[in-house]
Amino acid sequence: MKAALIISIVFQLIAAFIALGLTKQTKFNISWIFISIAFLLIALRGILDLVPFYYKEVQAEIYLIYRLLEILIAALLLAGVLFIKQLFKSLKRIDDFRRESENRVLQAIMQTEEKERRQLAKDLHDGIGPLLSNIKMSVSALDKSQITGFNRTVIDNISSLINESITSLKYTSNNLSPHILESFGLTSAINSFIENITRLGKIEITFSSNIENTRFESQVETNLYRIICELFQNTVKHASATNVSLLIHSHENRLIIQYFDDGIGFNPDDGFQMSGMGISNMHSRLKALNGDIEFKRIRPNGMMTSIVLKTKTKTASHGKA
Amino acid sequence: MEKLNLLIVDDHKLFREGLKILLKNLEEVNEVWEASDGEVFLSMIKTCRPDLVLMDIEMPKVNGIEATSKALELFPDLKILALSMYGDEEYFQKMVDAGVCGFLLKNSEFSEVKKAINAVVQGNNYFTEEILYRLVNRFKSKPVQAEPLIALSDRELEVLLLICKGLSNQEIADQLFISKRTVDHHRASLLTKTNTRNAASLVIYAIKHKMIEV
Repeated sequence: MKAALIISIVFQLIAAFIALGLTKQTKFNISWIFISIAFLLIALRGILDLVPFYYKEVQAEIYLIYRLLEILIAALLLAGVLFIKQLFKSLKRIDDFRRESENRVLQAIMQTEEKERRQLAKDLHDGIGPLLSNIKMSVSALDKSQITGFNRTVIDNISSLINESITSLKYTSNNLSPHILESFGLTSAINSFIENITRLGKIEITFSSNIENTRFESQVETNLYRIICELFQNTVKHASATNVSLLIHSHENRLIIQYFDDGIGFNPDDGFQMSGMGISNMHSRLKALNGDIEFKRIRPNGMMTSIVLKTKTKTASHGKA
Repeated sequence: MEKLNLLIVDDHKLFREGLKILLKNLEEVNEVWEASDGEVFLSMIKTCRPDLVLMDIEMPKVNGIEATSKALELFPDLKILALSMYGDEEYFQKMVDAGVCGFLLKNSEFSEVKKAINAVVQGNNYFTEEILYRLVNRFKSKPVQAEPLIALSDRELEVLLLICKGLSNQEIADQLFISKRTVDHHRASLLTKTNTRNAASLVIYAIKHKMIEV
């Protein structure tokens, strides 16, 4: 009995000293100090347990000290635990803060990227575009009847080169940043994008929305536009679909987007297949907007993507030009 | 015919100068003036009266849409032809609402520029085919607008179709064997019935309601 008591005291003392030793590492955290002292007092209480084995006559006084120690230990443990609760709260705060600043960095990166793309697209379209147009007009104004033989071939070649340059400049500038999105908003930009896809004639697209000319923050418009384009491109490239339906619904400061196609679908667990479809890109775009995106396979054919996010609408405008 | 005075409103200096060289070479052109933006244009037209204005849309200070409506408030007879890099329906619609007589893309061949200038100067409309084609395609996929079709008389319908073909009131009168005054009357009644502002928006109305094919 005595030996068991001694062993437990030794263990308690070791635990108490280790706990005290860790105080520095916890940066003198108050809850840890309380808990360490409580360990020390538990060991002390064990020592008091030993006293009656040696001094039979002091039992009454020991009993009082013993009770006092128990109250003190309980109080210290309680205080320690309460402070630990605080500690967890502040840890959560730090975690939230970290996540928020990560988000802000992500947003800043995307905004800068979009700004650069917009500027480049504008420089190309408004700077070089009119020059090419003017070259085209000038070449077409030449009196062709006076140009024959080899010179005529060269002029005709120049004409087709200019036409090709104008087409490719428009395409590049539009891909970099569609001016129609900035000037007239999401619906117009999507309509124009759909028009270009429909021209290929492979897919039938139904687009319905209740947002009309509502303008959202530029970041929201840009990210949603890019996501929707990516979805269309995935359908065109991978899905062998014939029908696509896109729905944009705004309700009480919430924007809900649903996209369906009747193609071959995909396997959401196939990381390789998903990585080729810009899925992670779409996720980070939505993360920057504090929204959610979900992909689902539809049986027997097709896929569905749902996007939900909270939005602040800018005053409804009919665009600027 | 008297020689024409033209005014190019465009913020792109090289484009303006290049077009000026081409236009000045035309027999029917007398003088080509330049304005570098809508603001300069608005102050210029107080002193000079061009027969036709070639108007860009995207410009600093005052853009083409605003400049067109302000200029037409001051001089309702001024003929303005939009000459833009952008062929989007939205720009087209806004310029037509502002009151332009025609719409041309900057990447047109010069022969088309000449054609458009002549059409507009003679009091007709000119819309580049690329845009009309796009508009028709856009509306083809949509069901006909739900609003009940306003009751147009057969004669009004005939006049509307000829307006869409770009004929002037005199030409319509000649073709239908009626007086120009009657055509003026039909045109006014068409504008009122369809609640449109000018011939250009009348053309869009006709396209939207699938009354014509391009």
